[in-house]
Amino acid sequence: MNNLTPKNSQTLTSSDIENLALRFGGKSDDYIEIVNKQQNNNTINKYALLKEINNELNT
Amino acid sequence: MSITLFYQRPIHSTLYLLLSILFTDKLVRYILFKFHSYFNQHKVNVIEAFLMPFITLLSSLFINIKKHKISFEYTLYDYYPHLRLPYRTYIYSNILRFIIQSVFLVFFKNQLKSSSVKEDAVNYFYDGVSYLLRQLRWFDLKLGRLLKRLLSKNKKGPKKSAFKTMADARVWQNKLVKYVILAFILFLLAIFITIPFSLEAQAVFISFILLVAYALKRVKGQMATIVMITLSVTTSSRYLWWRYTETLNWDDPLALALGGGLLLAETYAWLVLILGFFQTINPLERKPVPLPKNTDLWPTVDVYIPTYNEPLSVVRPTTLAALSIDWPVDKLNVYILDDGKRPEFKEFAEEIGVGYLARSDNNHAKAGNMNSAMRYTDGEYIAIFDCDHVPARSFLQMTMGQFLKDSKVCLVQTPHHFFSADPFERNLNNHSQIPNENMLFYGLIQDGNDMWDATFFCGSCAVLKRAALDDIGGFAFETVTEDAHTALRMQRAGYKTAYINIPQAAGLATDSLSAHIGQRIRWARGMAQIFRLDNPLMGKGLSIPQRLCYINAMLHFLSGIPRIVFLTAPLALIYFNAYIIYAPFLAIFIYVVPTLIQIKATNSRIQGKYRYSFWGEVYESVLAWYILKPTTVALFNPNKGKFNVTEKGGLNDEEHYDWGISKPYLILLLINLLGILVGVLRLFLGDPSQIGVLIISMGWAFYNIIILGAAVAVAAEARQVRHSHRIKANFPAGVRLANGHTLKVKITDYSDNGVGIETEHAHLCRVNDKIELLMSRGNKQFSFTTYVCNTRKKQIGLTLKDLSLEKQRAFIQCTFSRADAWLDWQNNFRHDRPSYSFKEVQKTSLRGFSNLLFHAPRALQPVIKLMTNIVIYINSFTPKKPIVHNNYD
Amino acid sequence: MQRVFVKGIKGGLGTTSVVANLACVLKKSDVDVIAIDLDAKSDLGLHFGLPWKYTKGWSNEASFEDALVHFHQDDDGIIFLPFGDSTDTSIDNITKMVNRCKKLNYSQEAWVIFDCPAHINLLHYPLEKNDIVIELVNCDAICHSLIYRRLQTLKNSDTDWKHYFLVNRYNSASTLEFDLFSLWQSTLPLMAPFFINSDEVIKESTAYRNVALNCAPYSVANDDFETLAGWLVSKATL
Repeated sequence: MNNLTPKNSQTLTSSDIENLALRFGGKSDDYIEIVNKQQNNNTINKYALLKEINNELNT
Repeated sequence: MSITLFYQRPIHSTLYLLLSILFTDKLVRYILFKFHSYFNQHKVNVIEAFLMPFITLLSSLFINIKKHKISFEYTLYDYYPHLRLPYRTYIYSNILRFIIQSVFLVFFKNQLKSSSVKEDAVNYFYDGVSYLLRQLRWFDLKLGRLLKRLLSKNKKGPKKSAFKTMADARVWQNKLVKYVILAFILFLLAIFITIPFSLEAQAVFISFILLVAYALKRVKGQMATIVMITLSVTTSSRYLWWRYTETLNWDDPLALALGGGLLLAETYAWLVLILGFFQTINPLERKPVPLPKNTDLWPTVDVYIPTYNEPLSVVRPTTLAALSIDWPVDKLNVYILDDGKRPEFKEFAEEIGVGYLARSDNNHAKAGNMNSAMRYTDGEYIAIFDCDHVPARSFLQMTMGQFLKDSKVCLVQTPHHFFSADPFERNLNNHSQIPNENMLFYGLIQDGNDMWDATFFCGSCAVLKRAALDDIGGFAFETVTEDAHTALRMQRAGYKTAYINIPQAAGLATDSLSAHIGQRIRWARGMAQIFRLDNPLMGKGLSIPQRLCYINAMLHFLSGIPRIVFLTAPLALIYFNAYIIYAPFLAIFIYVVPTLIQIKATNSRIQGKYRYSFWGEVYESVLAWYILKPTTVALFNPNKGKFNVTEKGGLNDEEHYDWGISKPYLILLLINLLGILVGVLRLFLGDPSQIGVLIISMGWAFYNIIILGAAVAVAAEARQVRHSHRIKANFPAGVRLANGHTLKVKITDYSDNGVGIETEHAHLCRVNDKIELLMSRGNKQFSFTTYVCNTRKKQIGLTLKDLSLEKQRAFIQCTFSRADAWLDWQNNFRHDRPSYSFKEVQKTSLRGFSNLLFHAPRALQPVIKLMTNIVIYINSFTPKKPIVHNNYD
Repeated sequence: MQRVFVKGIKGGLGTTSVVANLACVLKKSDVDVIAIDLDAKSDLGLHFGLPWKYTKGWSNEASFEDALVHFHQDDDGIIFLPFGDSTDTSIDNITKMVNRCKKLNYSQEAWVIFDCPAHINLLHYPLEKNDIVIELVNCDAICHSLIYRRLQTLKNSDTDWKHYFLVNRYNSASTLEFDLFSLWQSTLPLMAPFFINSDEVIKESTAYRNVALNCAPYSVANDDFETLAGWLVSKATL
């Protein structure tokens, strides 16, 4: 596995936070991508199947 | 020769007969043939045409013409290209041109492929010179290496700045030793500054310093910079001492008055220089502090977006971006503070779910607005963005760490970056080619301030601690620069401030020169007010470095009078014969010029990435007249004067020249130009003993003309075509075409409703195709419906139409709000090179002059035409570079 | 040899395409890549350009040594082994093959990728600690339900392999897919932080008897596979 270098192509998932960390030091895992809990709840409540599964899991 | 021919061509035949006396038949035929050919074909005038064959014959005695026969003529015109031009029928002027060009060719080396006797001699000469230069260069390299070794001894240690190592060295711990060494250094400095040198000694001293400065050019690192700074301090102080002690003419009251004025201006410049060195000796380059992993420990933040009369289209992206900052939703509250009390803003705020605060009055402008808002919000911290400053999503996570690490910190400031061109860049058309005006402050000076804990609040792109604001009674509103004043008050109260030199927001620059100047007037007035009302030199709570940094910021805005003095000083000698610098020409030359060179070199080294040499003078000249009055008024009566808001987002739809604004520069320019003329007259008609000083004065006036020309150039307002600004970018994205295929693309630019992309491969999209744009924010992908509006082989322009609010927000998140959106703000600029920068200023100056001529009112056109023709005629005499043929001819 | 098992959480999610494209990308870094078809449909070969007339595979042979003759190598250098057309499609037979593949003599850096059928439960396979299992999903509600069921099974059984879910055929323009993936990204453990975009070229490339990487090197899907490959490298412990 040693000669498979970590990807350095400009893929779609190339992260702006990584660029920031690269330029100014610091580690990109110090950055916390905030989870939009509100939107997640909206999604679950919007679709009945998801809601039911969610309810089952939480009981 | 037949008789009939004689009748038909009398002159020709007469000549033929005459010449046959002297020359052989063949020669005569040759001469006449050549004469006809020159006269008829090449349109040379009679006498030249007649002389040319003789010259050719004469030179053929020395050079083998036959070998170069065909090329001789071409060679001639290669060396003397201007002889071919339209006015070559004027023979006497041509002779003059010929002579000047010959002189030029002999003394200056020119590259020509064809070899000739002359060129061999020239080659030998230059071989000798280059050998000499090589020896000098070897010596210079050795010197540079020696210095490099001396100064970079501690390469192995951790990357601590030289300044820090010096400051933390153990020798300072002992107070007594510290004072003794300081006293010793001051004593040495005092000696070097005050000891009177004879002219020769001064010349030697200064050339030694220049030599060291030149050798240090190649040595990188802060130690070398510190050495340069020390040298500059020494030379400039020495210069000033010399001026005070030896160059004031006490006998002539006029000269004394004018000279005193110049001396005060120079003292001002020296003070700003020294304080500037102190301020920027060690930019702190603070790194962001990571936040704790548990977001429950994160504090609450209110985001204020104050607005007054800006259009909704400007405020919208800012608000959407503020909502998308990566911070727990329950701890982030965004508020629009609308002093314009506009209903559409209220609707907008409700629609996207941000707070809307409007107050009943408009007292104290922005400060009052924010103070009023503080009554209705209760976040532990307040982040402030001007309504056009779009924050990056990482803004809070980059800044808040400082507060959590040190509870005494009350302010974290980030740079103001502009994604549009400021008036200088737009009107001079050099956006992204030279650093713009505010880059020096945010790139270097604030970072330097941070070292001394003297960062001040700039009104936007910053976070403040609510508790500290409450402590000082809210935002300060007594001055028009309430931001700096607030920071000053907080620092007096014992809080610390911080600067993070990473651009995390970007906004619009002022869009016209008058708006720009209006903004600076406000800052200047405000700083003068602070100086009067809350003088940082006095009062408690500030450390000495903090006081010095604030004073320097204020002094910067007092540059109006000194700049005007510098722009008019040489004229005192030319018009009034007043010896403002009462010293012999040689002394002036030896003291002034090397000191200036040394200072320029040091400044270029320190500031080179953020400001190019000589542009500072241009910026100051543009502002000088306008900040003169407000600062003087504010210094005497701080409470007079009104707050004028800077307009943002206007449109300039026609190219025009702002004559109103440029009046001061034009007047200054005119008197300088007249001064040159008068100087020339006096050179020829006046007292020969004064020639030296006259030449220096004229040189200075000429330099002033160049600077003023550049200032004049800025007033020519360029046309702004686009309504929404296009921002250059470079990040990856994808598109999905209608047929389901995807393509990897690069976003090359974006605006608030369009995107420019570049594909790796020629694409097959056509205008009006509908394609799906896939952009990411972090690891989330968003899809946007777009339409192709223009295409080229590898580039496509896309527009987004009718985006829903959610999609608008997502779009801002993927473009303007990218954490790395503005990271390249400094990287496109090479380090300053003073000579190159000066050439740029010269070019700009010429542009200024041509703008004047271009926009001149109708009545003056004939005069201008006449003057242009005169200039062109004079220019035709100047030596020209010989034409070099490349191998394709 | 690093073993990777690619299985769809249900059928028809594009498992074989993923195996073929992943193998192609891994091969780019010049290591040995071996793809083994464990699915009775035996279509892995077609993805690598195997002529349609070759119908035999390892299932047609009794011993492993005999099966070696069915190894093919495609133009990119990937070694693959078709299933064959034997009627003995018992789970036992298939899972035994996995163990027998251990006898392959390749270097430590080699990758062995198994194309697993959707209907065989992973617990039947002799999985070990260093194996990586990628369970392919699409962004829809059924897969959501299946994922949670799978999570429950994984919790209740004693598993020690590295198990991940990977979204295939992702289309962010669809509201449901976008919402669902946002939900999964932030709530599901074991969800890969990226996805394979829906791209027509993956379908088309098989029609051209090739893989997406070779047919459309500038596609986004290509990038996604590269991301997948890089991510696998970081997860591999060998």
